Amino acid sequence: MRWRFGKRSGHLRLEELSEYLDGRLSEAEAGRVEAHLASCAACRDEVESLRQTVQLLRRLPQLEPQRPFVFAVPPVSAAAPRRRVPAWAYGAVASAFALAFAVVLSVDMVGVLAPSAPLDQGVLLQTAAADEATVVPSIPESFGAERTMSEATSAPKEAEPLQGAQPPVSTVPQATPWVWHLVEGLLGALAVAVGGAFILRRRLPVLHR
Amino acid sequence: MAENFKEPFSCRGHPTLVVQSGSGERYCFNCIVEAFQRQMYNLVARMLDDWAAAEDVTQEALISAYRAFPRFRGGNLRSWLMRIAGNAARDLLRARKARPSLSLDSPERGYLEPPAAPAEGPEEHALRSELRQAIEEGLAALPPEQRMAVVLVDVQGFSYEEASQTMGASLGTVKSRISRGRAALRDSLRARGELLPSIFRQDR
Repeated sequence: MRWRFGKRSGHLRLEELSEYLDGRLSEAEAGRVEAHLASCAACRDEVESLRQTVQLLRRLPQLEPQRPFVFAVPPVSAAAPRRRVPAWAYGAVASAFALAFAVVLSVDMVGVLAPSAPLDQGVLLQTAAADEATVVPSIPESFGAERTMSEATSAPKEAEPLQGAQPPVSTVPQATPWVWHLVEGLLGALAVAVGGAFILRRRLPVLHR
Repeated sequence: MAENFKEPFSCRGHPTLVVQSGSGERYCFNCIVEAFQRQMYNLVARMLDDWAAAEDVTQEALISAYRAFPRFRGGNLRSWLMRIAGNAARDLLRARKARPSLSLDSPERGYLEPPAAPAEGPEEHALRSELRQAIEEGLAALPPEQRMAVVLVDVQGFSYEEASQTMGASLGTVKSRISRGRAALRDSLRARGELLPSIFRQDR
């Protein structure tokens, strides 16, 4: 039996029956519905079958998820990068790192950085005693004075043989500060890492659905 | 109702995860999760007719809600969350329709029955098996909008007004979805014949 209770048929409308079941009709409207039901078996059957349907739905058990959804850590980091990073960005970032790596490496090779690198005193002190000996004189008087006082005892022992052999402004390779090697290594590694991530992302589309 | 989630927090059994709403109030998001996760999961599971996929979708919906929380400006938190859950389910339904490869070969509706209640009568038990399957299948066959309306109002006990808020539809639209959904479900239960109570049999 198909549904054929429209306004024209003189029967109750489907929405009226639904609202009647839910007790949503005003007293007057409900009275009119009940009056019609009393005289119309088809509508009585209709409302009864709907009532049964609703009762069955109400008795459906609640489903229990098999895992909790509480967050152990804020979920932003896990979700944010997803689909937000355009594909070309990986390539661009990898290229930028590779370019920076190439620039730093070639500048280093030429040796421009080595002698005149504006590094602070602490770094230079750690690098080579030979360098220190040549730089110390350029420090302002007040600062250099106490420095030479304290260093005077230990530094000369190792520095003296070299000092004679080298000019004050040197381009010796081993004078390149370790910081630059670190920068070179980092840039190279980043270029490889980002480039690799870019390639893997292409190869493993499954991970990104 | 929403007062439990606000400061001062009294979280038990989970870390406090503070979020701030658009109206400047601070909530513990995990308290919100605990309070609404089951309702969200139930809506999503019945929308998808796939209990297992519903877990992932519910989780994703909660992540969306977490990120969108600054846009929550007070009001009905439940319908705000249920709306996000409903949208997440609808997105997956749409994606499955567009790319059938995303669907499982056979939707997984594992009947993970809660342990039988001690006072369960034979009638209850029957509902748990074949009849219940008939209802779930009938629900799954409804158009998504009718399904959502029927699940919200009849299964989850929402008022028409809250369902209309949740679905972002007018009250009139929701009324019509509910009544048509109920009628279609009734028809599908009738069509299944014997295993149902006599009212559904077609022997008149």
